[in-house]
Amino acid sequence: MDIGYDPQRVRALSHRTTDAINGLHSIHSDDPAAAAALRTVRLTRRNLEDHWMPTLLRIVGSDAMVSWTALDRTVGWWTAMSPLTDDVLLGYVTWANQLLPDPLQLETLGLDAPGLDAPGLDKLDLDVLARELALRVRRDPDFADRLLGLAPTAPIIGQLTGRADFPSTFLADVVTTMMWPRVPQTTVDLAEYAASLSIAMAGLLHDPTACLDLLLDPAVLYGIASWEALDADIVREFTLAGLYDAVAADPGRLGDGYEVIANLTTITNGPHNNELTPGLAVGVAGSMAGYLPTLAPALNFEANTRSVVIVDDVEIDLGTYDELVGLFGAVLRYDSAQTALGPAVSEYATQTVTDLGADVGSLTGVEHVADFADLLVDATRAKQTSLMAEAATEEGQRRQLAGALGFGLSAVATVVGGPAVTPVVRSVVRSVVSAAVELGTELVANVEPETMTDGMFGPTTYNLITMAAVAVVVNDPNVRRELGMGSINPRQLEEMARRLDDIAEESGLDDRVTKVRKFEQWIATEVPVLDAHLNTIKTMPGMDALKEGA
Amino acid sequence: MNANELRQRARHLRDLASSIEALPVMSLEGYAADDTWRGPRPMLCRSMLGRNQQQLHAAADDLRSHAHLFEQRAAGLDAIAVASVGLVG
Repeated sequence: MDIGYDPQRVRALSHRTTDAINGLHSIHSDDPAAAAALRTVRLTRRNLEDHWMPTLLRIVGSDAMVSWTALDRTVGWWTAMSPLTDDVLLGYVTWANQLLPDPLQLETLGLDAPGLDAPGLDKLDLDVLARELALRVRRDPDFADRLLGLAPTAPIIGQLTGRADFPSTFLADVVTTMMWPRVPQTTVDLAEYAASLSIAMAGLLHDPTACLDLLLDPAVLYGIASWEALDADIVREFTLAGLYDAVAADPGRLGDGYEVIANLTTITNGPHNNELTPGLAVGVAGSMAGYLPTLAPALNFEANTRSVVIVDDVEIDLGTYDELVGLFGAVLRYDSAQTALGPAVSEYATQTVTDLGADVGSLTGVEHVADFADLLVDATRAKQTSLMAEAATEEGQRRQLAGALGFGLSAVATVVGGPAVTPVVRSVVRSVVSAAVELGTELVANVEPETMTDGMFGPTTYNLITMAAVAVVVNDPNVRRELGMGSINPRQLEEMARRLDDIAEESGLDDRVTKVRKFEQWIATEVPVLDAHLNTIKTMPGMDALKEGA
Repeated sequence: MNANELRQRARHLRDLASSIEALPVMSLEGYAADDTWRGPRPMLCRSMLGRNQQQLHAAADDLRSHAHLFEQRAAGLDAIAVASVGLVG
């Protein structure tokens, strides 16, 4: 039998079918004598809804329609969805899943879309479908469960969640269902499945609490940690939202954040040996700004003793020192994660020095910064990281954690004396993490292959601490008064501020070290009282090890 | 039920029959001819639509039949009333 279709006419037919269904819906009568006629009306309507429209949809999506190139943007039969039964609507979801064209996936992900004239479905159709599904999900838990049940086999559901306002609880269920290790089913295209799951995760970014709740689920966390097909940018933002934003908004959830970190320690030292997906690694690194003040003091360097952090009187076992080295070794495999961790460390160092103020040379605090720096040094020496560093060397470039610290130093003047630290930290972390993706190459220094990354981080942190201490003195007259530095004149203050800015803006690691050395020499000559203060700081526990590169 | 009520129901049923016959579905086949789509499934769709249209036409005719019966009963009631008046008169 001859088979053929006219795209424009089929589209017109869909409009007329919509009108026909709506017209049949408009027929009402309370007269018992009209009962038989009304049954016929209902029968006709159901035939159109249950058979006519699905047949149209199948035809539109069939191979015979692939040559369609001139679909208009008028509303199709999808506008008639509200009268449809749940069964029919869920049937459409299944069919639409089979028709989903690749260009639409790209467009849904916000990537370059060659056009929406793909056969069968256009953006408008999907928007209408998504809105109808979201509406029913909100008002009918049973329908939500049925739709959720399709998620493992119909990736379009994840994509549709990005087109309408679905409740967070449903999105979280979609993520949990799709992330569960036993799915996806083998009949599903894995790349499409991962893209769909990523979109569902993106729908939760406005709800950091939900993100943290999901990260607490070991199965979800393991999926995010191990599945590289997930969108790295979305995973990064999802992790930052859960680990950082949720805790910043509600400090009472810091313990939950640590539970996630503890689980990650287990994962990286167990089933997923020394590996994390890049998005998760950057997210964890960027989130450290909210954890270092409590994490660093909890570090225990003894081999058989576990590092335990206490949050709200609850002890959370983070693992042994070697296990934490394994976690951060997995994080630091990625240069963008190093870039994200840099400002967190430098902010912690800066804030520690700032908080200690005039007592920086006499009270504890700096040694905790040194301890965490030691941990990172050991982490970068981990076997896996070294292997990766060697691979990077072969490519002619070396990623440097130390180089990234320049970002944090640039924030010193802003942080010192500022009314509130958290917003500053947040903005610094966010901007740097984004920059790591978009402008990361600017942070990657070309160095001699024999210059080891792990040999540079310690001295850089050492310089960061001393320069932060200078910045505190320059920016805080109260500290100068307490330290008996009233003799420092305005010209000297201006010169020190200028040199600090110059150092902060220096992206070249070697040039920065040179400028720091010259500045210290200048201080020794011009401002002896400050030099004495710095010498006191340099004798604090752990500082010697940092200076020598541990 | 009095004659007026029967006539009111008859008018409603005739209006309903007219509404059904004026439904967009009754002319849907004009947009579903071979120049729009050809093949076994379109043929099945057209066949199904044709049966439904016949059923709807039959339903409209049935409504008019009911309306006619109601009008006859109304006329009968009127005649009885007139006769009653005549007897009384």
